[in-house]
Amino acid sequence: MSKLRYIIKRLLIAIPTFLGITMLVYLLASMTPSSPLEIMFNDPMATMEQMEQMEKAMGLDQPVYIQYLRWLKGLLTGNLGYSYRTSQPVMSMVLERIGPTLLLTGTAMLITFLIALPLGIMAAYKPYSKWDYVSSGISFVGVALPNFFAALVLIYLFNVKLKIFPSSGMYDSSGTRSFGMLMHHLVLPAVVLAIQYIGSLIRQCRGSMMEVLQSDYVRTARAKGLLEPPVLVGHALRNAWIPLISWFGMQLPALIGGAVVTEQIFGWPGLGSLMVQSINARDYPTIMGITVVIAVVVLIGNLIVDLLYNLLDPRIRY
Amino acid sequence: MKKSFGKVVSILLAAMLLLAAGIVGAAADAPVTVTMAMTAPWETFIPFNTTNGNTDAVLELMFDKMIVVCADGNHEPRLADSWEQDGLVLTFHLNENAAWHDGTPLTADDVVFTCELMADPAINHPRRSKVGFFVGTDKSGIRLPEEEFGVKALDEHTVQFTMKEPAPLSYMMAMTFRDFYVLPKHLLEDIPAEQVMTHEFWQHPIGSGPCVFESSIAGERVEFTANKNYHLGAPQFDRFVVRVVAASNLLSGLMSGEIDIVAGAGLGNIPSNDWDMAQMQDNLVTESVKSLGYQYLAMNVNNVPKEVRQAVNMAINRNVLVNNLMRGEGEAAAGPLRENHPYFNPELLPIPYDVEKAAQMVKDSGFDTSRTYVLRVSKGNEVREKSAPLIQQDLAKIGIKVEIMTTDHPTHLAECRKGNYDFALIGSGGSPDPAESCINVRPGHVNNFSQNQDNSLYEKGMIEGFAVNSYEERLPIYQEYQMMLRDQVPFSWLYFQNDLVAYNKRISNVHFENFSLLNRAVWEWEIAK
Repeated sequence: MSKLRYIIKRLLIAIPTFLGITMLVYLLASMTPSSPLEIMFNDPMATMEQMEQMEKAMGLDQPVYIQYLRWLKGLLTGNLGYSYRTSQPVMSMVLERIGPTLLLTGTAMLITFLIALPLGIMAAYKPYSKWDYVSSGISFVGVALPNFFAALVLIYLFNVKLKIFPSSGMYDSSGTRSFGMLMHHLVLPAVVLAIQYIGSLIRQCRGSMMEVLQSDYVRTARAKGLLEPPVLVGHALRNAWIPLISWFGMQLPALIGGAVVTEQIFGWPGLGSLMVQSINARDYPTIMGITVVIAVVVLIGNLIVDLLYNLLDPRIRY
Repeated sequence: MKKSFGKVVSILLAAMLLLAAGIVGAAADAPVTVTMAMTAPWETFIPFNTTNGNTDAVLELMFDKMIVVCADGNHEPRLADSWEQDGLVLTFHLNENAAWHDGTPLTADDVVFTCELMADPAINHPRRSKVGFFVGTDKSGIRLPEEEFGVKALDEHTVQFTMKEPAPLSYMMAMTFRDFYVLPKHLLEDIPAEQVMTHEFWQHPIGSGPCVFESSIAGERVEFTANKNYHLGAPQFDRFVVRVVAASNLLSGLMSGEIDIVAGAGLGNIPSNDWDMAQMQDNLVTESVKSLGYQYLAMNVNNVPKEVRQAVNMAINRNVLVNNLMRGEGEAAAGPLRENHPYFNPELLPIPYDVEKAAQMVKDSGFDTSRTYVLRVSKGNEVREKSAPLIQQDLAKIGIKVEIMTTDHPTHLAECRKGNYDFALIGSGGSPDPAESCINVRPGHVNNFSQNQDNSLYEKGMIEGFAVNSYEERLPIYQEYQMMLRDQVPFSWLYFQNDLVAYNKRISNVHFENFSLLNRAVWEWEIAK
């Protein structure tokens, strides 16, 4: 099967998958035993007449399938609707939050690859050496340490005690919003998030590199007299990438969906915290808008990951 | 290899320190900025499209309302200089110097326009009940075109509200006007009503309050500049920033100077675990503020008979709740009014606590103690959540078994409104007006959390108590109302929790007791430079 046909087939399969996801999320959201009106009318002055009038105006008195079809019709015309909470277009609310989320999770992922890959490679290259023990130690700590705890420890250390990094937000209150200030505020949340990723990536990287380093073609490359760096990077790492790409594919939903706990603790205004606020307010249009973005990015991301397999290893055919 | 390992570590550390060191530093002539922190974000800048406290905390900075309410029950000018009530008519005289941030004078027409907009059927919003009090609207607050509207401009600076039914000025101020924000007619009148809510005006709102909107980052901050022409006086700060900060980071932010003041009023309180450390900080002022807000145990009157409700009220050890869960930073509640409330009935004291008598009352009532009842509690309020198992133990002592059901707050509200509970823990913000709790016992009301069907409490509190106006006339009525509450026990009041707050020492003249009434009066804050 040609690559183009494969891509078209995958995209066609993605359509019912996408619809299934939206249908399921809409159903689950509307099955929760309360409605957006409960919070909206959490006010001593609210009246029953007002609630009924609002319910009708919002179409919440209609059966769930009608509500879903109405939402789907809007989606097909490029309209994600308006938030119940803010009255703003859902699309602009989601777009506003995607930037901070990608900045946070992307930076965390960059830190992860910069730290975990060298450590994982060195641990595999020199098993049971100091590098290996350090890598294993970092890996265990990363996997075992809950995000919120790591955040509190780093805030105590770097904010309260050393006063090096701020504890919250994207900028300080001075009114100037420079790139440097943004990076300064990004350090702690990105490191906290990276700690978790680093733990699992080191183990993945070590495992796949060790397997590759024992294979015949690496032995052949060494026998031909190649120096170690080209053997490691050109021969071993290229083949070890495949499980690492799979690992990356599995992190995609978290990458786009935001890191809820980290965002909440550090006051980082990403998609994850918007999702939590929307769920708490039963803001169905916003919940669905975020779902659409996550679903689309994950479906396309997974397709790209699959195509990357072929790029890295031509033996994989479609 | 040893060298390379050391190098990698050194480079990483150096990069971190360089990044950190390169950013810090402030100019000597920097504008005076005050940063206020709250733990959850605002929702919208549309004043009538919310019932959310965090949103009000932002709105009251940029928009004006007619008056402000103080915790002691007094009213102070905001947009209106003076006001009077004559039967069903309330008249406000506006400050002649009041102006919008674009320089246009604020007039009575703006007030009338705001009310007309809120009553317009083309707009759906949760604060319509505010205009439902006035003639020319139906029960939900929608304008009735065939009737004359009850909000009129008498002249440029005088506006008159005509009520459908009598209500005391104190109630109207505390429940309606405290969060009634006036909008600019000249900027909104040409927008079709059905497009107002989604109009780009709300991306960069223009108000008339002490703070001028500058910018916002959704979910993270709103930045303002000071309105130096504010009609009640120029604020001493140049910039005001409202930031969303996790509760766990409030104290660290205050200590490092990232935050100057917390929003208080339950929107940004110091967690009780951090309270001791907060009090030890040299750069901070800490206050344990007596709040009007209370927590109560609602009892479904359809499932729990009166004698049992009275027994439950007698079996709860409120001192344990206050001393153990709040470390003494609160007060046991005898009813909806705190002991320092002007309408509090001292006959409610001492709060009855007699486990043996309560157990006997349950026994004598024939209440089915073989089954397990449901005690609902919602997530989000730590003290309230922790009080559930203690109340469960108190009830067990008088033979009533309850199972605790914890849900998120919207589910909790929905189930309580439907009556799917036996016991439920609920909170309220309280009010300086003694009628605040009446709607919670009003048959058929959306917030009738006791499922009470007896009209006597409502008639006492909102008919008899509304027929008179003065404190002297209302006092005996509400003292009797409190005794009726104790007799009928639709709710067992538990405690008033203090707001634990802190702010930087460079700020003074801050009256935290008024914060819960949306009265922060930031233009009066004194700020040392």
